[in-house]
Amino acid sequence: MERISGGSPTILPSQRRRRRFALAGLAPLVLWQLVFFVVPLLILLVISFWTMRNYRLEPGFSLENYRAVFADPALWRSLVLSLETAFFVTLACALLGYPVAYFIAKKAGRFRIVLLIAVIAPFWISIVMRISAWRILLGENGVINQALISLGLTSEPLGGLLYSPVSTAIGLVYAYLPLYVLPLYAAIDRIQDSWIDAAKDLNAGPVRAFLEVTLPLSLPGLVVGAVFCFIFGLGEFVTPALLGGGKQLLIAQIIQDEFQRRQDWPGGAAIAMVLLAIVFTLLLLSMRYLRIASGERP
Amino acid sequence: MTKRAGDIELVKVSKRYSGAAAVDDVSIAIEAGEFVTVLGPSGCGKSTLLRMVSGFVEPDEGDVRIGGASVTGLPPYRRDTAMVFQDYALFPHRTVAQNIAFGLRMRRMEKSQIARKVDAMLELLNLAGFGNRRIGEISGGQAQRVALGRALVVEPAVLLLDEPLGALDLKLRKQMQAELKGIHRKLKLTFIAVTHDQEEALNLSDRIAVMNAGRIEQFADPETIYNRPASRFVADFVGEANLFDATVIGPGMAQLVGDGSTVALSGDGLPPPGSRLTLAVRPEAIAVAATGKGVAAIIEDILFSGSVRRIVGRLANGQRVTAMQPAAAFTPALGQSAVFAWTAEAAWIIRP
Ligand SMILES: Nc1ncnc2c1ncn2[C@@H]1O[C@H](COP(=O)(O)OP(=O)(O)O)[C@@H](O)[C@H]1O
Ligand SMILES: [Mg+2]
Repeated sequence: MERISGGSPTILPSQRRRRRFALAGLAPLVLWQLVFFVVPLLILLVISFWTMRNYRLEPGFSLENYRAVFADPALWRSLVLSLETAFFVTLACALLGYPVAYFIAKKAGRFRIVLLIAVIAPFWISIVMRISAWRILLGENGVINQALISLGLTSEPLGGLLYSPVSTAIGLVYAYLPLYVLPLYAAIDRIQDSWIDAAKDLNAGPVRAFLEVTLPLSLPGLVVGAVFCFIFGLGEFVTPALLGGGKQLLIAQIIQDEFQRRQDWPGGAAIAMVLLAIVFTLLLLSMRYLRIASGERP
Repeated sequence: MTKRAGDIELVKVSKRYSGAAAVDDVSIAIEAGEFVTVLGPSGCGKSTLLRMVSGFVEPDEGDVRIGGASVTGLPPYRRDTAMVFQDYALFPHRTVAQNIAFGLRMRRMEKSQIARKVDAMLELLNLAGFGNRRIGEISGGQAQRVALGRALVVEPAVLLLDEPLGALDLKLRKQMQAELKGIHRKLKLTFIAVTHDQEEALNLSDRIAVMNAGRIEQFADPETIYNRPASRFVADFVGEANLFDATVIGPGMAQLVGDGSTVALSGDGLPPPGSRLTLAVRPEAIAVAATGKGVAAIIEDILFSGSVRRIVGRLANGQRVTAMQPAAAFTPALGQSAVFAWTAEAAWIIRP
C-alpha cells in the first residue's frame, strides 16, 4: 500500500482523541501502581542504604547491609533453601500440571469448562482455610497418619509430615498448581491436532510426535507457569509460616523477622532488594524468551 | 497379477459416525502412478475416505490395501503414505527446511543425505533460498508448496492431498494445478486428491471418482465423466446438464413427459416403447433457432458473457431448458417463442 504523506504516519485528530481517552482510562491503574508499588519500592531501596543506631533509623549511604547479606551464612542457607523449595515446587507443579492441562485441552471435549473451573476452585477458598485442611491431613494425629497406622504400614505416626520443608512444599504445590495449569492449558489449546497428525503421518510414533511437536509448542506455557510458581514460591510467607514449623526459615520469613522482631529495617530492606533482583532477572529472561518464541526476532 | 507399491485398494469400506454413514460400502482400485481425484460436495465423505488410506480413520467394515497388503488396523506412522493437509499443518516452530526434513529425520536418514534431499526438494518447488524462513514468514502459495514438499520428500507409496488448493486464490490455484500436474508427471507416484471443485478434478486427474452421500457414483476418466455421466447426480454436479424425463414411443424416438415434443435417440439397446427414461443434454450441445425441428420454448432469460450467450427457455410442461451458444449465433428476443434443438448423439440416457 502506498502512503500519501512521505514522512512519519500522520495521526488524525479523532485518533489522537481516542488515544488520550485510552490514557485517561489507564490513569487509575497507573496511579495505583505508583502509590502502592513503585513508591514503597523506592522507599525500601533508600532505606536499604541507611543504618540503625540505638534503635533509630539513620539516613546515609552505606553498603554495610548488603555486605551483611552476603556474609551471613544463616542468611545464605535461607536463601538457598528458598531457591531449592521454589525450584522443587515449580518442578512438581510442572510434572503434575502438564497431564492435567493436556487432558483438559485435548481430551475433555465439552467438559473442559467444568474442569477448568474445578482447577481454579481452590483459589476461591481462603488460604488460611486451605492450610488448616492440610494440617488436619498431615498432622501427627492427622488423617494420613491414622490411615497408615490402621493399615499397619507403620506403628508410630510419622512426625516429619507436618512442620517440615516437606509439608511446606506440599502446601505450595497444592496452592500453585492452578497457577501452572492455566498458562499450560492456554499453550496446549493452541496446538492444532493437525500438527500432531502431520508428525504421525510422517512416521513419528506417539512418543516422538509428543517430543517433536507437542512439547516444544507447550514451552511458552511451561515457561510462564514456571515463572509464576518460582517467583511466588520464592517470596512465599504464609504457607511456610503455618506449615513449615519455623525450624528452617525461608527468606521471606527472615525478612519479616528483620523488620518486626529485630527492628532492623535497613537489614531487612537489603535482603528484600537482593530477592527482588533475583526475581527481576528471572522475569527479564523469561520475557526475552517469550518474545523470541512468539516470532519476534531478538 | 503382482502388485506395485503404489497400488491402492479399498474393499467394501464403510465408516459410520453416530449411525450416519460418512463412507458407505466403497470399493475402488487405484493403480500405481495414477492421479485420482475424489470429487464431491462438502460433507459427502471425501476426507473420511482419504483418512482411511492414511490411517487416521479406521473403517468399521472393509479392508484397505496398499501395494496389495492389507494395512487395516495399522496406525498412520506405520503406513507408507504421506498427506498434504487441508490447512497444510506446517510445524510453526520449525523453518521451511526443517519442515521438509521432518519425515526424513523420522525415517532415520543420514544428516548429509537429508540436507541433499531437502535442497533438491526446495529446488523442485521453486523455494530455493526460502529454507531458513519461519513458517509465519511465507505466503499462502509458498506454504502450500512447503506442505507438498514435506510429504513428497519421503517418497511415499501414495501422496494424499486433502483439498490441496482450496485455500488459494483463483489465479494461484490455476498456476498450482499446472505445477502439481508437472510434479506428478516427473515423480510418477500415486496421487489421490480430494476436491469439491469440478474444474480442478477435470484438469488434474487421470481418473475421477465422483462421490455423493458416502458412495462413489462413478469412477472413470475425465472425458467419460463429463461426456457420459452415469447418474443424474454426476450429470448435475460435473458441468451443467439439462435433464428431461421422457417416454420411449418407437425405435430411436422419445416424447418429453408433459410436453408432447418428440426427440431422437441414438445408440443400441434402447428400452422398449412405453418405458420411461431420463435424458441428459449439455447446454453447449443445444442450438436455438426461430423455427424448425426441436423442442418449442418461450425465451425467459438471456445472459451475454463475452464469447458465449446463455439462453434460458421454458417448455410447455413448465421445465426450464438452458442453451449455451456462440455470441454470434441467432439470438431470439425475450418472451418470443423459439426452438431448442440437439442431435441424437448429444443426448444420453442416464439411470433414473
Ligand atoms: N470425527 C467425526 N465425528 C463425527 N462426524 C464426522 C467426523 N468426521 C466426519 N464426520 C461426518 O462425516 C461426514 C463426511 O465428512 P467428511 O469426510 O469430512 O466430508 P468432506 O470431506 O467430503 O467434506 C460429514 O457429515 C461429517 O459431519
Ligand atoms: Mg473435507
